[in-house]
Amino acid sequence: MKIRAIRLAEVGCFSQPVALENLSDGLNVLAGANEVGKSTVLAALRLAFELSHKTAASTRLEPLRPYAGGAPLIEVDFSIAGSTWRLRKRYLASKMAELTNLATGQVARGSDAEDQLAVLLGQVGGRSSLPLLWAAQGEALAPAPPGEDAAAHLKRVVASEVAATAGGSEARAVRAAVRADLDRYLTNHKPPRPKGDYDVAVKSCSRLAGDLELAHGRRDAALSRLDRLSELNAAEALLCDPARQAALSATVASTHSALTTARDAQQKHRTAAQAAEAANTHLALARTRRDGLAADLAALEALSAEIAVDQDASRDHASGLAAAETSAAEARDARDAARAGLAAAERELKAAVETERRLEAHQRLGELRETHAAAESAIASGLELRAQLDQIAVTPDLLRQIRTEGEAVRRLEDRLAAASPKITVAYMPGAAGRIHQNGIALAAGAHTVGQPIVLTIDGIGTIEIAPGASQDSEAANDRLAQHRVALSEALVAANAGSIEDAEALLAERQRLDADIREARVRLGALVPGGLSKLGSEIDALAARAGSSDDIEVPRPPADIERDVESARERVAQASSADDAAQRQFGLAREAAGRHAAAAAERLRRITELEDALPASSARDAALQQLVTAAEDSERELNAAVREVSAWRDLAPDAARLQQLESDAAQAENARKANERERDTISRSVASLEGELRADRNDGVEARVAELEGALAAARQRQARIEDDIAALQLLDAELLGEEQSSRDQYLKPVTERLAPLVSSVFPRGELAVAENLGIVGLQRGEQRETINALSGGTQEQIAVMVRLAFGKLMADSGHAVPVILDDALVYSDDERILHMFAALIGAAQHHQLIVLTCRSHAFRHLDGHRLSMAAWQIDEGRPGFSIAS
Amino acid sequence: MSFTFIHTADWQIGKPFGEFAGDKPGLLRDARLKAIDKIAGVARERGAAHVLAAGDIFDFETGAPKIVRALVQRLAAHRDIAWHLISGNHDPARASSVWDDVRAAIPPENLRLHLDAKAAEIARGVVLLPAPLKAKASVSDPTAWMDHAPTPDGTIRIGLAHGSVTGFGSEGDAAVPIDPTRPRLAGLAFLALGDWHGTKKIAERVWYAGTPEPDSFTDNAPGHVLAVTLDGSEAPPKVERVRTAEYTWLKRDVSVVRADDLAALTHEIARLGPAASAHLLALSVAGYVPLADQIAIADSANRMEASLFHIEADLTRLSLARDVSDLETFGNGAVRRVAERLSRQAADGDGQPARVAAAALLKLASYTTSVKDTAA
Repeated sequence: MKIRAIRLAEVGCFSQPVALENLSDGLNVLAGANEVGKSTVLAALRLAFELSHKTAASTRLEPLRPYAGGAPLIEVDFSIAGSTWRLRKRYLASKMAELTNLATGQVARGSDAEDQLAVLLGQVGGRSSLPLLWAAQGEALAPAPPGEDAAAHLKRVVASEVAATAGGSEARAVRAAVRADLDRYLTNHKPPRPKGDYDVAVKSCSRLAGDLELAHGRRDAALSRLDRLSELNAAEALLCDPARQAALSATVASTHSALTTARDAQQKHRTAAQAAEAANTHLALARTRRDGLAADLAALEALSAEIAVDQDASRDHASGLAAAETSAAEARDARDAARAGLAAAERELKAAVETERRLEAHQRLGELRETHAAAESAIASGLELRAQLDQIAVTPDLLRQIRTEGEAVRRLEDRLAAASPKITVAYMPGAAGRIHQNGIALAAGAHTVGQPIVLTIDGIGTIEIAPGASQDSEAANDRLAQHRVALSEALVAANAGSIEDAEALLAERQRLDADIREARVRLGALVPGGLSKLGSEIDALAARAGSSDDIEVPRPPADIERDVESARERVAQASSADDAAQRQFGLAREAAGRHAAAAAERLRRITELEDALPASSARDAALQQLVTAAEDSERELNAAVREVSAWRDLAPDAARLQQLESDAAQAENARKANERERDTISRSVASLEGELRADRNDGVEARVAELEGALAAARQRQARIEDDIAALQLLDAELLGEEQSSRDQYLKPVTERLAPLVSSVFPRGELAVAENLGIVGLQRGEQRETINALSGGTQEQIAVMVRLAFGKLMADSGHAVPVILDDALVYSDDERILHMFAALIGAAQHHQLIVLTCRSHAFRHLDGHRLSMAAWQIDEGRPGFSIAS
Repeated sequence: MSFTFIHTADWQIGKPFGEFAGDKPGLLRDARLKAIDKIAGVARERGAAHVLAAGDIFDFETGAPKIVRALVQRLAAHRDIAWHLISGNHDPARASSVWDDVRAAIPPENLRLHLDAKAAEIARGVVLLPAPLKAKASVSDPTAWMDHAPTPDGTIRIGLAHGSVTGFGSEGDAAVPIDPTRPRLAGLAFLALGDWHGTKKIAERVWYAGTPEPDSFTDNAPGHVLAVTLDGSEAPPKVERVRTAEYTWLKRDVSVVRADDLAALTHEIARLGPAASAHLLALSVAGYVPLADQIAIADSANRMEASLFHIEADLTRLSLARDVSDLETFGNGAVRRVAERLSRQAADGDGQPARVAAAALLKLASYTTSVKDTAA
């Protein structure tokens, strides 16, 4: 199918009839500004082919309603299968449709025209194919999938190429059934579908496993209780054994009896021992009383005899005491006289020692005064040296400055001299001394001219010689002058005429300095503590020595000391004699005292005894009574001792008693432990029996077996379902693979035609096509982009390519239909648009292509048949024929 | 003197059958109680006034009291029969065990509990020497005491015990050794044993009666009691096996090369008629068969399930044989290609992946048929 001409009257914005004539078989381009009616032309074209002339006013017709009023008239010349036809339709008012075969002139009108048009369009896939390829303004901006009718048409076209899709519907139906069954088991993310068979099976297994674990626990506990109960029953039987009971009781009885006997014997032994102790006490008391009376009687007799002797002894003691008292008084007087002689000798000795000390002090005082004088002389000498030193101004620093300045002057003078001209005087024989400088004859030889000089040659004239002026020499002279001034000032400060004088002065200064230090050392040696301290010392010593006038020379101290020693010996002898006499007197006095006291005591004792003793006539009877009592007590003691001895053999010692107590306690404890254990076991048995009754009521073992069976069955069910799922998943995967393979083959016709277009614009680019023939993405190298992520320009270019591919697909299938693009490629850059132009030109080789654009300038490079709007002179009288002017 | 009694064992009253679903566990449990009535009927028919039950009366030593009461009531109902029970390894007579509940249920006079190894004259000139178990396992022979149990001369001595006869391949689940020469050693006219669930003759005087009501697919002739007649203490016993089972547990391992190989079994089931509803079948089918036969075999198993009380069909040992004609049913399109791939995986693969592929192929066939039916 190809469009040959389009004519419009009373359509939309067109106030006058317009026509596009002579469209080529290939690429046609209509370029014009906005609002010239390009889109109206395309809309009218689609309307004429797609909408019956009888269609009532609708949204599709509304845009074509003429602005100036009237009814839209559309005329299209087109060719199909070698015949050219003219379709004329008027809408809204005066509705009409005509289809004229321009070769034969045969005209169909009204419904016939519509029917015949449908038949013609059927040859190119029907009306549904037109919207696919005729993209209105804006429709080409996005590569949306074709509508259902268009897609179905495309699929029919594709199916004619692809035989491999046979049976696809059956596979899809099977897969849908597989998916439905899988969905009953699993969710999309594979976990069991809640409340589905698989979910129920899995949960049933889990629940039963949990219940079984609990049941195992209860059963094991019950069986353990049974085992424990058997053990307890056996233990209880053992504890209740009569022989065991009798043995325990017999042991208790025997140990208790032995303990009782032992305790009785011990008690009796203790009682006998106490009785023996009491008898012993009684015996001791009786003996004491007996012996006491006998002793008192003997003492009274002895005291009475001693009293008679005491009277003679008392007289002897009185005379001895008086003689001792006289001797003591004489010895005391001799001692006092000896002590007075000793004191006089010691006083003389002390005076002699003091005189010796004062003489020594006077001698020392003389020595110190000489030292003081020598020190004062040294100080005066030092002060004189200091005065000499102070006269010398040169210091080491000043001498260093002088030397520095002198050296600088010397170096500058040498430098200036080296730079100065030199004159060498050589006299001719006989002419020596004829050359003068400043009136002084100049000696033969070399001379440096440091400053302008005037040489006078007698009889000849003068020669003025001046060194050449230069900045260097001027600067040197300036520095030389400065250093000379500095040298001169330093020498003045040093009070020296020359550097050598300064050096001599400094040597003198250093010598004086050494002498001063030496004088200080000497002074320090003379008076280490200082002159002042020495003075104070002299004053103190003078005060102590006093005047020498009253000093008398004493006797030799050795003589005096000998006298003192003799006096001391006399004192010692007198004191010793005094002590002996005093002691003798004391002894005599003590002996007399003791004798008197003893006599008094004896008298007091006699009186006391007489008072205590019975009367003289009853004393023998009383003594005999006490003797008898003591004998009775002794007999009682002997009897008690025998009793103690008898029980001592029967009573156990502490260790034995403790052993018997322990044996008895152990026997009793064993019996009680047996009873307690029986009691404990009885309670445990009762408790276990209660628990086991509960176990039996709950049928714990049966529950385990029941759950084991149920769990095994549940696991079988789960396994069967899992096998079922595995089979379904495998089947689903195989069917999906088959479906994918079929789809790839199915889409191949489209993708094959898209590929060269895409690669020409997007190098290494590949479009991903969905089953609905929509474009889902662009693969560029390794990068995959979804269609919506692409730029508007790229999306627009892809949309155009898709339509070109569809167009070629249909052309290849023998159903070529024009592709019309309205204002496509409005967002393409200059480079891309050239690639797209190439694609458009290529596409036009296979089918008619009509491009409507407002971008006249950009599209000037698109090489195609240029269309232009022309006025249409409607020949109403000759329906089916129109003349364009 | 002639003495006839019924020898039975392993009633295991209260076995839960938890592996079954729905009302099946209850029916199977009831069948074990109903066996008491059948045993009593057999006793009356044979003129036996005594039934000797050789242990494992209950399935558990912690059996529930209501189960105990149900049994005691059932036994009391047959008051003309003296029931002599001993404990086994499932219900050892320990303190506070299920036997306490038996005693608490006030057993009737015709119920004689022999829970101690103590001789009892159960009829004039007939002494029962019981060997009840007091524990689940024992290293010593509980019948050994019978050697020294005194009885008057001419007495018919009958041993009643529960355990495994060593050396005869009759080991049951009890770890209790029993010397099969005990009749000779102890002068027994008959040693009635329990534990082995099938009827088994160990020696002329040594028998396992087996359980009166089968409870597993073990193929050892369960579901019987023995009617034993002793003509004096010396004469050989006359032993008659009498069937008492209500449910029959069948086990069939079938090897097939085509679906028809299962026909014999299906006919066997069909011949049972209504009695099939009292049959349980453990079916294992092994073979290398094409897809169509696999489908037919699965259909056969499904059909059998409808008539049987229960079926456990294991078809996992069926392998898929590749057959081009199988694939014809999938047409020539995409489904056919999928079927071809699955067929290859099932036939050429191994283990679980091959089984999954075979199952997927079976499903594909089912789905395809369903889709075609819908389209038609």
